[in-house]
Amino acid sequence: MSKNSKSPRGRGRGPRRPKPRKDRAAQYVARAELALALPDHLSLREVPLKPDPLEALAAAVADVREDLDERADIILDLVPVAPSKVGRRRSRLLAQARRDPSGMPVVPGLPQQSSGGFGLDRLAALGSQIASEVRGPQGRGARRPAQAQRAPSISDVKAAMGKFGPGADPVFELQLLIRTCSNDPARPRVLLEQIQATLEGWAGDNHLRPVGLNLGVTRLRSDSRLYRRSFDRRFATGEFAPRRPSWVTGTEIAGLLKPATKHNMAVNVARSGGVVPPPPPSLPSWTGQPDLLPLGWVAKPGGGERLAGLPLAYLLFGLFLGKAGYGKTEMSLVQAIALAHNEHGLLFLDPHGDGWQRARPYLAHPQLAPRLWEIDLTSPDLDAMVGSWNPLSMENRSESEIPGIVNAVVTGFASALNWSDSAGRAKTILTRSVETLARLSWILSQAGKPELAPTIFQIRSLLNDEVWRDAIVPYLPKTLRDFWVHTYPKYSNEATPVVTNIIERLDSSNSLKGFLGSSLSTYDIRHAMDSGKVVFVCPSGTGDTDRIVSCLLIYDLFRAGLSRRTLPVADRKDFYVFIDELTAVDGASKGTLAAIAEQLRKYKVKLLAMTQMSQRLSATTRQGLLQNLSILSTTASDIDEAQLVTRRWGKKVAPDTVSQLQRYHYVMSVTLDGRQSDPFRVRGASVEELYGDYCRSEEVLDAAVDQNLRRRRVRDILDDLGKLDTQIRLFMATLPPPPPDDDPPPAVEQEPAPAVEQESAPDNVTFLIKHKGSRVG
Amino acid sequence: MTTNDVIDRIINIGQHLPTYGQTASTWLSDNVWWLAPVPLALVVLVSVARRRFGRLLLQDRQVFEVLPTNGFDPVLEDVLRFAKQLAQAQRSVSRWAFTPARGTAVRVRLLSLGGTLTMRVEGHSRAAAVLRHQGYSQCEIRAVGAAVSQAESPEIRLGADSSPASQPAFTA
Repeated sequence: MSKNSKSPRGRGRGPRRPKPRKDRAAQYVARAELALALPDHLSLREVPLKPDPLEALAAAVADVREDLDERADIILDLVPVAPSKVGRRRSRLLAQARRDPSGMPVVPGLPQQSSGGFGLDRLAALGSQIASEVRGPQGRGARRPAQAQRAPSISDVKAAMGKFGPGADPVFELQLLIRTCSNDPARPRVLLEQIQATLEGWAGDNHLRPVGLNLGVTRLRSDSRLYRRSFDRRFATGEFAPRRPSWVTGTEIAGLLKPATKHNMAVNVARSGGVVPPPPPSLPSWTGQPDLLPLGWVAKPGGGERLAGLPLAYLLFGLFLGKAGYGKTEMSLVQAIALAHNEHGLLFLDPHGDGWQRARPYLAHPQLAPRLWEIDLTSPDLDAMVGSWNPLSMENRSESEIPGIVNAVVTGFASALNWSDSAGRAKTILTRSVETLARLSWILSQAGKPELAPTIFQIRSLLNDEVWRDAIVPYLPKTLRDFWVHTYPKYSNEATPVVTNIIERLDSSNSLKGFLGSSLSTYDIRHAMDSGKVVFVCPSGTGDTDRIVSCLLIYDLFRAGLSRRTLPVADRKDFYVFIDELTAVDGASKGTLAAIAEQLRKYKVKLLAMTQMSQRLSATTRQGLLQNLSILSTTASDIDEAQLVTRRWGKKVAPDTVSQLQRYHYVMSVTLDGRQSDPFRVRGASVEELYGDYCRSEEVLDAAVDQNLRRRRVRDILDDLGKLDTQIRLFMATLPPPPPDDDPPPAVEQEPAPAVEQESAPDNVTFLIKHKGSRVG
Repeated sequence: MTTNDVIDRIINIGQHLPTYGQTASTWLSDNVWWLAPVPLALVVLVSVARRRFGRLLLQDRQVFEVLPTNGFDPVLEDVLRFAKQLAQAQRSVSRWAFTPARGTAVRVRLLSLGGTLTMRVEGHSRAAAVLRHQGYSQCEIRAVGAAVSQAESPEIRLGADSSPASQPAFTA
């Protein structure tokens, strides 16, 4: 075994060597060069691949310690031997066998019999031959040496050729170097011996032996000063100059020409995260083109990476899955900033507002200023400026839009609170309440008082304040009146708080009250869609209230998107919606989400949804969304989630591959050229990396948003909200009583009734008063 | 010139061959003091040239890590194909027979750093094209060191204005 010696970096290596740094411990190195111990044509043992022969090697190097700066290298330098050379070697072996048939091994592959040496058997054979000559022809005929008379047979020929028989391909000339090093003087040799012991597994007819001059009592090996320099040069440079040439076949060293297999149970084996097909060649490179959506860095065929983009024409709906903190939001920001600069409209629902804070400097450009909207619900400050949104506002809307508005608001609440079918009563009360207030809002709008439109906080007034309700109900259609007069009073007292509880929760947040508490809306998503606004909405990201407002916004978005059906197709501008945490808005939507996503693409509203786990989506929603995907992307996820995604890809990617993805790495498939691509690997790009040139001072960005959204102070909005109930009630009292709508038309329809009689007809208020026992009456 | 003339000339040269040989022998014996080292010098020159050429080849090498997946389960045929690809990679370094094997060997390195066993394949950069596409189906080839190709840095141009520098920030 080689003796430990200091490395060239160590002490006492001569004057030309650089002196070692004092803070670095001396490193000790052990070296060994191995070669075939016996003639080349004798084969090493053909080690099977199962069990993995590298398992022993992995065990041997498992003890390599990083803290001691240790390292172990087993190097096989290979130079293929030309088939003609192998053929000549084969011919020489055969010729030698013909000249001396007695020297051939009896069994193919075994060492040749003692043809070259002068052993006892050779001496015995010679003696036997002399004796037979002395006895003359009779004696020779009686006792001829069996081996001398053996004619070469096919098996003998094979035996003579050994491993270089026809078909031995590939054959390599081998230089096998082993080097271990450590800061501990004793350990390199220990490691070296462990490694050499594992290579004993290849010992068969031939075996590997350290090369070195045999001095009888010891052997001068690669660690000796005589050979160390050559060894280190070959080790460092890759130079091929074996001290003793050895020819090996691929079969012999197969166990060393492959990485650890699945049968290798050692834990200290570096493994890949998995194999993913290459990106489609037709995937364009992105340098800012307005008709492409940036995806990230993909591998180029010749090595390196390029920034890829997806043609927006192919984008209908995207789903981004994976763990939190693995880059979904960063990818969305990169895409959103690009779309904003390229004059596309977008909505970015950004919990916590972190994304908006990162995007602000890159959006602070004058040409973007008129298009920027920001709804920041993260600040509890009463003096903060906030835009306003009244989902019930009917300003500039028609009566026919009321059902859509009611549906959006109720579905939003129900999804956020996960109301299932068992909450039927609460849903009914909420539906009628919202419908009532939407109707009231429309009446006020028609009366020229949109600034008195009820907000969702008036749901509480409607349900709890009988006086307020009495002032409203007479102006409602019969169905609603019947509900409030006949149905609602029959509900138990526990029914109402279920609904009012939502409002109480919203009421607890200043920012939400500021955002939802104004009669006039400055936030109108339909307007944003049609005029290409860049909208960032930042809920505070925690709690039920934020989920409620997120759901309300998203279902209002769906409603607005569907309302584009009145627009000519050519006038529908693309609008991109980035939604984080899609599961939060799925709740009890019962597939509405999928259905609407499917519908929205027709109206050029394109969803790019993110969620940690698609399994948390309801089955209907999940199936619907997956059906219409243009982009399916996943970062690392747990194995169950990974299986779900990889099943979509026809198992072209293993679930393990997905579950082991690094941060900011994705596997995605896209729709390209009319078909779904194979999944490919993408490395996420960061905002700073791509848009460094577009970073600007954002000091006056708030002023631009204030102007665009006509933002007001939260305190002012809350003051107005406190007075709104009274103002509505007082104004309603000034309205003329509505015409009766529950009695059959008078018989004298052909002749218009006198004006006096019309005025004296019982109005709805009178009608209601007649119903004794009702809360209203 | 007729055929007879050619034959006559050849006969004439043949008759003078001993004379030529004697002249050459005399010249060689007179100049042996400087002719003798010529073959040796040629051998040394060729040897040095080959060695230098080999070292030049060694300066341009690339390294790739072969990382198996958890399901990597090759059969012998897969390994032999890989071995043939290694052989082909070595041959692709140079088309000249003069090229010494000293600088063109393909290296398979089983390496343990910090206790983790990895396999690397190293070779001349011209062999990289072959090495990069070595075909274990369940293995990932990952460039190491100088072989890591840098990602191109595209100049991103957003919006109507092609120059980001010409887009000022907001002014109050």
